[in-house]
Amino acid sequence: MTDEQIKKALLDNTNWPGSPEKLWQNIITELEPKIPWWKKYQIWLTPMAAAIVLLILVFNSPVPNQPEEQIEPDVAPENMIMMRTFFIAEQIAEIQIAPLNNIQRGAPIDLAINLTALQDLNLTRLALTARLIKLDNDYQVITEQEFNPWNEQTLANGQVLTTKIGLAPVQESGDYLIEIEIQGLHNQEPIVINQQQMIEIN
Amino acid sequence: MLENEQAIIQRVKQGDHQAMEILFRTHLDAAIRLAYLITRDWTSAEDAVQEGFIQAFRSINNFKDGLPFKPWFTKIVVNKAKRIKEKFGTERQIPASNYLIINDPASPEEISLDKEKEQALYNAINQLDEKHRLPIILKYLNELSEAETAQVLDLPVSTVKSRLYVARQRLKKHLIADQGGVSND
Repeated sequence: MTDEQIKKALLDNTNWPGSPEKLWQNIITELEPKIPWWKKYQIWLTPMAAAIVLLILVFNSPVPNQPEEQIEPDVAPENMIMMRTFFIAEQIAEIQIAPLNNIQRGAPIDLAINLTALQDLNLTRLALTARLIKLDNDYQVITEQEFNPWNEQTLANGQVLTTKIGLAPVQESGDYLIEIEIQGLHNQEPIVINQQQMIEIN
Repeated sequence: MLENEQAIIQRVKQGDHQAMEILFRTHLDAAIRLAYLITRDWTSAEDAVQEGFIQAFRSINNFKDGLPFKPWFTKIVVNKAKRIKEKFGTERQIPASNYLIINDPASPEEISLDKEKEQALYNAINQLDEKHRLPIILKYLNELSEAETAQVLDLPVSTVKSRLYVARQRLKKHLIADQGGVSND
């Protein structure tokens, strides 16, 4: 029994009947970034919010013969805040997510979270929500946990807040999306900052 | 290692799909045969290789420059194939392949005898337990060195050497028994 005979026995009996082209197509399709259904519509959220505010404006408008100057005070203050939130949320700070190790099923998911100020910030009532979403057909939220690592912070432009969080283990391997959402107040105005990152659990 | 493999890997790190396809076509054959020998099913083997390439390309930035791609990628495929086999239950027996009818100057009896011996050897490899079968496959089919095999299996090189030795001894015994107790080795 020679090395050549062993090699030949293995090679002659493992001829794949499949198609490399088809397999490559599957791979390249999978490598295209997967976008959860709600992300597909995210681009419409700001215009939709603006449209809703406009509709509210229209329906709450005084009768036509009244002067235009009187329209603005009729906008509900909570709607104005909501609109401003949509516009400023992505600009004042940025979130970075880094898995701290190779993530195995059944093991805690340890993450390092950085919040970088993109301008001088006066933040209060900060709360961090972490979601783990399974990237399959349903985009099911597997876990959602809240953390309060910071609460009140005054940050200079470029200053970074850092924290480490641990998400509950998952039992099923596969591709997941981590979403980190930070909510709070900046100069007493509501803010929401989001970031997502894909991870693979083995 | 291919002479320009490092250059291709650099291109893959920059997201170049053409470079990814070159790596895919270079390593597909060995990977799919290896996955089949672990999962014993072509569909599962395809899944393992597909997932293996996807993971490799997604985590290519963790791959250290200057190292050969093959052992790193082979380790991913072995883990994927083992996981799929575990997920879909017990091992299936690999069916004996059909004998090929070939034009050869040797007599039909000689061809038949060689094929029978080859089939007996293949069956003997498949009857080895996984810890002895995998080093044999990685060494002879995937052409990894003992050090690379050790890296893939997370074992010391000395353990790989001893498993290869034991595996060969068992194959030899199996073949002698198969031939009615006469060794041709």
